[in-house]
Amino acid sequence: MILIECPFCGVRDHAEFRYGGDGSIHYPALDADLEHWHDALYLRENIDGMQLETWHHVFGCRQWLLVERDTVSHEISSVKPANNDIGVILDSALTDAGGGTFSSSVGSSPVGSGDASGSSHVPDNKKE
Amino acid sequence: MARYSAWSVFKNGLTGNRQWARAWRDPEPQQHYDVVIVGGGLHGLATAYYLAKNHRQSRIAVVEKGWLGGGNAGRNTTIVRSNYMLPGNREFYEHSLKLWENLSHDLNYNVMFSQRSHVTLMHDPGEMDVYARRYNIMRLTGSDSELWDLATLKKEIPHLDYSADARFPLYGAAVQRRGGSARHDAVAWGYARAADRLGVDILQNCEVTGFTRQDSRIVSLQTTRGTLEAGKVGFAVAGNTSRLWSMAGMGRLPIESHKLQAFVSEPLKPLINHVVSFAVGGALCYVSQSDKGGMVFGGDLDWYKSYAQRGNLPQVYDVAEAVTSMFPCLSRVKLLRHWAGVMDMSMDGSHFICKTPLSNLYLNAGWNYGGFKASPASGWYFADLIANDRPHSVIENHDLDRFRRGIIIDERGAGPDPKLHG
Ligand SMILES: Cc1cc2nc3c(=O)[nH]c(=O)nc-3n(C[C@H](O)[C@H](O)[C@H](O)COP(=O)(O)OP(=O)(O)OC[C@H]3O[C@@H](n4cnc5c(N)ncnc54)[C@H](O)[C@@H]3O)c2cc1C
Ligand SMILES: [Zn+2]
Repeated sequence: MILIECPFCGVRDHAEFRYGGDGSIHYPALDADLEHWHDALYLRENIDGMQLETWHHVFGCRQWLLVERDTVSHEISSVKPANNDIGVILDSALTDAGGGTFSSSVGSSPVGSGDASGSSHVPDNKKE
Repeated sequence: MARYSAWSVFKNGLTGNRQWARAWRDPEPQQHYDVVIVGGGLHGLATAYYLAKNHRQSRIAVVEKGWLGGGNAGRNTTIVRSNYMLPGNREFYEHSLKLWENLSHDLNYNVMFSQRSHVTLMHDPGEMDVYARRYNIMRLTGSDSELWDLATLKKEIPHLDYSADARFPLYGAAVQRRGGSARHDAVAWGYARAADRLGVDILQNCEVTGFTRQDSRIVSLQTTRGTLEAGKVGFAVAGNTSRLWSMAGMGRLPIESHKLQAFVSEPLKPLINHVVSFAVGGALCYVSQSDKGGMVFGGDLDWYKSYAQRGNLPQVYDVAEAVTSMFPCLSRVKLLRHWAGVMDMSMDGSHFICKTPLSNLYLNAGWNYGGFKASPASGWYFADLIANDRPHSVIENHDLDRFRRGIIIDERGAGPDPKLHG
């Protein structure tokens, strides 16, 4: 089992996640030329070593994550939210709900610490 | 090296089987070869054989970093079928099946090809309609196909779960009688021996570590057994294709490497006489019984990209659940071994047998889960491509550039996500 330290939920088995794919791909603008779309859709570096990839925490917070993982040893070196602005979005949700801040523990920087407090700050529908 | 025959078995039996000659030579690398095939799996070995046999090429080497058949060749679940539907694929796989039917004779080596029927289980009328269409299209290419109703399925395979509370109630089956399985090691050894007899040098423990290029040509290959000059070079390295590709100084490919596991149980008395395959929603498994009695089965990929030849536990559970929901009688059978291989998953689930941006480099890759059955035709068409420096019409769209031309050979209709193809 690969253990993924979700910035929102803490350390979880990879079986809770769905693998997205190569996280280094930048999809071009909708009206970009065929060549750009061809490359983004069909060409892969297929790295043997540390690669950036997306995972979806389907059986958890349902957030997309950007994970740096070694494709040979499966070792994970960093996990962060795929949506850079997710901290800001959650902060405003928390402010609306009269809660604290979130962006201090989850942001665009790799998250390896503070996830326990992070998960306790995630808005909990059951409380509302 | 002598031909194998009933007489040779008898004669060697008289001398206690101590006089058998080795099956192929273990030559020292020559300095120059006309053709160097990288990868001593089934595809590389078959290519060398057909280059020598069909095209009378000489000075051919197959270089293999480990031992023959140590890659996916020796790790697969050995299912052979030709139930492909799309143009190009169906001619290719039907040709492959025809080559299988005569392979033991052609190679003078018993590959234990057993046409025990490939049975795809159906669970509802809609699925049956889809398969009726697919299997009728196969008939246009001369393949065989049958649809079984529930009564026939019950008679043929009595041990499936037909009970009222079955997890996946059965409706019928789509069947290819000429499908079946073969002994994977024997296929590797048979091609190796037959190629060797035609003069091909098989160089084991010979890893390619670099290339010397002159403009758009490969001049020589650096290997752990010295430098080899090559007139033409062919890659047939399955899950390692991207590694070799970047070693040769090229960029990205429409391929991702994923791992697929397979399993074998303790030996049982004869129980399943067919190859049985089951797929509903996200569950997939395929089961057959080996000649030694073990249940050989597999399922889906481990879902995340990997170059590791070892599997992960969640997929063991998933596949075991699928198998036992189809065959509840296997629920208490013990697993003996499980392992994984690195698959060259392509962007549309179909293969590449094609020229490359380098003028004397040819590519054979993108086999997904299906490259065992493809081995004979893969070697046949790859040899034809290398010898004639142009693709045969059957594989003319199986090139790297097809996506750019809008030609997507996607049997599953899964889209450009390699892990979703099978
Ligand atoms: C678990 C599993 C189950 C499968 N089940 C089926 C099935 O039921 N039916 C089916 O049709 N297909 C199946 N397949 C797919 C099939 O096994 C493969 O598509 C096929 O074997 C690939 O071709 P190959 O035999 O040439 O590859 P391989 O045997 O992998 O050969 C490639 C060779 O290249 C060598 N190599 C790599 N890099 C270098 C280098 N730098 N220098 C020298 N040599 C190098 C490797 O060592 C390897 O031996 C399965 C695969 C797996 C893993
Ligand atoms: Zn989470």
